[in-house]
This record gives sequence, structure tokens and C-alpha cells, in this order.
Amino acid sequence: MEPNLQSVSPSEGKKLRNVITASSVGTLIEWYDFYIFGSLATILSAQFFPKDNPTAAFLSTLATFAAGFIVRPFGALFFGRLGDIIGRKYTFLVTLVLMGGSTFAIGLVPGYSSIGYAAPVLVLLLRLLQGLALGGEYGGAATYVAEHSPKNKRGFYTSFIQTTATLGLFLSLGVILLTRQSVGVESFNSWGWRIPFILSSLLVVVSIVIRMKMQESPLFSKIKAEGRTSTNPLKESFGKKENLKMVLLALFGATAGQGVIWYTGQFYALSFIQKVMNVEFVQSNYIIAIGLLIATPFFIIFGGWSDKIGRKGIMMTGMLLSILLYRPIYKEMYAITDLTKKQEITAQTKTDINSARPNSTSSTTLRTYSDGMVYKEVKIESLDGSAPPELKKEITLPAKSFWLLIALIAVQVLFVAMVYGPIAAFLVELFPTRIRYTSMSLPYHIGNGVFGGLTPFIAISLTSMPGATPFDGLWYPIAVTAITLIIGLIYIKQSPAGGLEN
Amino acid sequence: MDNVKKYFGIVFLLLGIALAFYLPYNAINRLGSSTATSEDYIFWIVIITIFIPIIAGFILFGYYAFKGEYRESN
Repeated sequence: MEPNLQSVSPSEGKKLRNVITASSVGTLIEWYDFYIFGSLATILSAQFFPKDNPTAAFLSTLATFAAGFIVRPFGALFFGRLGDIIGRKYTFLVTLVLMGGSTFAIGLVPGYSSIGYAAPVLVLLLRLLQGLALGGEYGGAATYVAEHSPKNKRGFYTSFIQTTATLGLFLSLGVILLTRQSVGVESFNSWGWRIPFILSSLLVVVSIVIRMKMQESPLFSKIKAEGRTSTNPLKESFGKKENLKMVLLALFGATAGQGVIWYTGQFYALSFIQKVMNVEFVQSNYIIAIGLLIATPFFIIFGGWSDKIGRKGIMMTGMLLSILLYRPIYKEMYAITDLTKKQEITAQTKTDINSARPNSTSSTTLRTYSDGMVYKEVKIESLDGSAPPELKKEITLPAKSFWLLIALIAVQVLFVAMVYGPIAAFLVELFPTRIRYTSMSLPYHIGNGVFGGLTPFIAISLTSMPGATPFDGLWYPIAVTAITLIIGLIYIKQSPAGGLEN
Repeated sequence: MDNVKKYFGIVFLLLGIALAFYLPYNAINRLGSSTATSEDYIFWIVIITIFIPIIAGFILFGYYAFKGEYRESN
């Protein structure tokens, strides 16, 4: 039977906590594994995909796009089907092993300079396995927790799964910054980057041990005992109109908007801070990490609240706020480092022979502004004109601007929490137990992986169009969210948390 | 409300058809330019491969909405 609050005894309460911990820790590790690759993209490029080699650069682009956009939905289909046939527990145990194994292996692959083309090919294959594993993990964890949860606490309990993507990003940033600080920048770029990958194996082993002790979801066990499991979940999910129309509604009325809001508030924000505002690397990562940490509890607050007032209202409000406030927020962010609006106090320029690039000079200019902001500009010019000049800009923020930027990031993560906190409960309630894993995984990974994952690329391509402003990249998330909001408002029924047994 | 759902279904159906033509047209234009790199080719091939089925899904969603599949009584 589906658990309800009245029947939750202290021992069942403890069991529920174990279910949430086992699922959340594993999913968090999977997100961590997935994000360290992205966060270390520049270093991995230098190690495995040298830019002056076209084949290696081609493999690099393939690794970036294929893992995020193509393989994740296939992982959702492959593991979703398995989860609906053999069960949730064993399936999301397999995804964890697959993710942990491939992450660990990336940390051990010798560089391009040692084994040539084998290096980028191996890394590409391992990255594809990561994408496949991630595609299967989330649906399993969300379904497993939801099928253990009492009806009136489902939003609250599944919201712990929802915090894992953000915490996984936070953990990846934290481990990278700590490792970089411990071994030094040069050692980190040379070999220290391997530590975050290898460390993953320890985390995965702990998580596997915890998950091995868990039992199969009660709802799945029940339908399995009654012989009511689906023999062909893919056909049933996408071949029957009754289910297919709900898959389409979940995608276009919820997960597409959720995906772009998730990526705008976290990844595009980081890219904007580093590339448009030119904020220094470590400071920019701290800004995102602290912003994430401040807003993360709200995933649970909104998830829990959705049990009382419904999922739809909270998700749609988050989307509306994003549409209305993205541009004002990014304009405010931009103004923080807008040099034309600041009063310069001192400027100091120093020119040296550049030791990193032969036959070139580097000229460093340091400008200090009245609010305490420091602007550093390094211009590298070749003496014989053999290479184009290189300009590097870097801004170090004073405390006040630093915290203002954190607040602006935290507000964006708050929007993420509004749409993402209740969405696991919303998705599991749309589909019957026999095809739940398959049916909810696909719209989630198309929404999050494709619509969301493409946000930085499409936004950057919009801002690089002739006559574009730095804020034009926001039209992509705004447009996708607006369509999702309209569809969600019109077609999704506002209903209280329902049963999962149908 | 059922009528609103139906009319919006037509809008989504037409929007989907427009996107199904616009996306490949845009890709051909971009890749036809002399500045197109191998990275652009991968990007657009991935975009077309992944978005065409999604657009087909969007058109189907519009069709279902138009046919009344999302009516309150359903």
C-alpha cells in the first residue's frame, strides 16, 4: 500500500530518512561527477584536446555536446526501461557504479602528450558513459523516494533529491578550489586536476554500500508481486496516447522552463560574471558557491510548501518572476563592474618581457577605483608581429560589490528553487507506477539536458550577433520560460498531491 | 477554458511547423557561410538532430490540445 502520514511509525520514519539519505547522497555524487568535467573544461582541453590539433578539438566539441544533449535522454530511456522492468533499486545502483567508474577512469587517463589520440578518444567515451549514467539516475532516485513517501509529504521528501544538483555543483566548485589552493595553481593544472576525479571513487563506494542495504520501493514490489509490471515500458509510455500526452505536457509545460531557469541561474550566471564582467576566477567561483549555499534550503521549503498549496502555483510563480526579473537582475550585475560609471583613483602600468611567450612583451595596467574595485589589464604583444595581441582583463571586487553580486545570484537560485523544488513530486504524480521511471525520466532530461544545457551556448551566440547587447543572451531562457508558463498555466491541472497507485 | 486550450493548440501547432522550417533554414545559412568552422558543423548537426524530434513532439502537443485531449473532463 502507498504509505500515508497516519501510518508512519517511528521505525518507518527512520526508514524513510535512510531512503532519502541513500538516494540523495548517490544522486549528489552523480551530479558532482558530471560537473567536475564541465568545471575543469579548460584544463581538460589542454590535457586531452589541444586546440592546435583539429581532430582533438573536434572530439572535445563532441564530448561537450554529445554527453549533455544526446546521451542523457538515451540514458533516461535505457535505464528508465530497466527500472520499470527489474526495479528501481538495482537500476539506480547500476547508474551509480557506471558514473563512479567512468569518473574515476577519467582521472587516470594519460594526457595527449603521452598516448596521443587514444587520450581524447578514451575521455570522450568515458564522458558519454557519464551522460548515460546521469540520464538514468535522477528518475530512479526521485521515483524511489516518492514511492516511499506519504502522500502529504511527497513534495517535501523528494525536494531533498532536488537539492542534489545544486549541491553537486557546489561540491564540485568547493573540491576544485580547495585542491587548487592546496597543491598550487601550477601543480593543479599539471596533475592536481586528477584529484577531484579520483576522489569521486571514495564517495561512490560509500554511496554504493548505503544503497545496497536499501529495499525495493514498496509500490514497485507490490505490482511486481501481482505480476502487473510493464513488459514494454517504452511502448507503453510513448506508444499510448494517454501517456504520451502527459509526457508532452510534462516537457512543454514544466521541465523545459525549469531547465533553462536552472542553467541561467547557475551556469550562465557564472559565465556572465567571468566573461562579461571579467571578475577574477577564484572570486567568481566563491560568488556562485555562496549564492548556491544561501538559496539551497529553499528547495526544501518550496518542496514542502507544494504539499500544502499545490505544485503548479509555486512552479509557475518561479517562471513568471524569472521572465520579469532576469533582465533587471543582469543589468544590475553588469553595473557593478561598469568602469564608465566609476571614479578612478590610481593607474599604474608596467611593461616587461613576457617569459611565457617568446619574442613578446607584456604590459600590465592596474587601476584602482573609489569604491575599492581593482581592474587589471594584461596586454601581450609579439615583438615581430607574428601573433595577434592578446588582452586579458580581470576585476577584483571590493566586499560591498562582492556581497551584492552574491545576493543577485541567490535571488536567481531562489527562482530555481521555486521551479525545481516541487518538480520531482509533480512528475512522479503524472504517471502510473508500472511506467513511472521511463515516463518521467525522458521529459526531465530533455527539459534539463537539452533546453537547459543549451542555455550557455545559445545565449552566447545571441550576444555575439552584430549590434547585440550583453543582455540579449537572456532572450533564450525568457522565451522558453514564457512558452512553458503559458502551457503550464493553461493545461496543467492544479490538483492536490495525488495517489501514486493508479 | 476548453476553448482557450483548443485555440492555443492551433497556435502551438503552427509555431511548431514554423520552427521545423526555420531551424534547418538557419542551419544551412550558418553552415553555408565562409566562416563556418568544424565546431559550427557539430553544433548545428547536434541541434538539428535533437531539436527536430522535439519540434515534432511540440506539433503533436499542439494537435492533441486542438483535438481536446487536455479538456477538463479528460
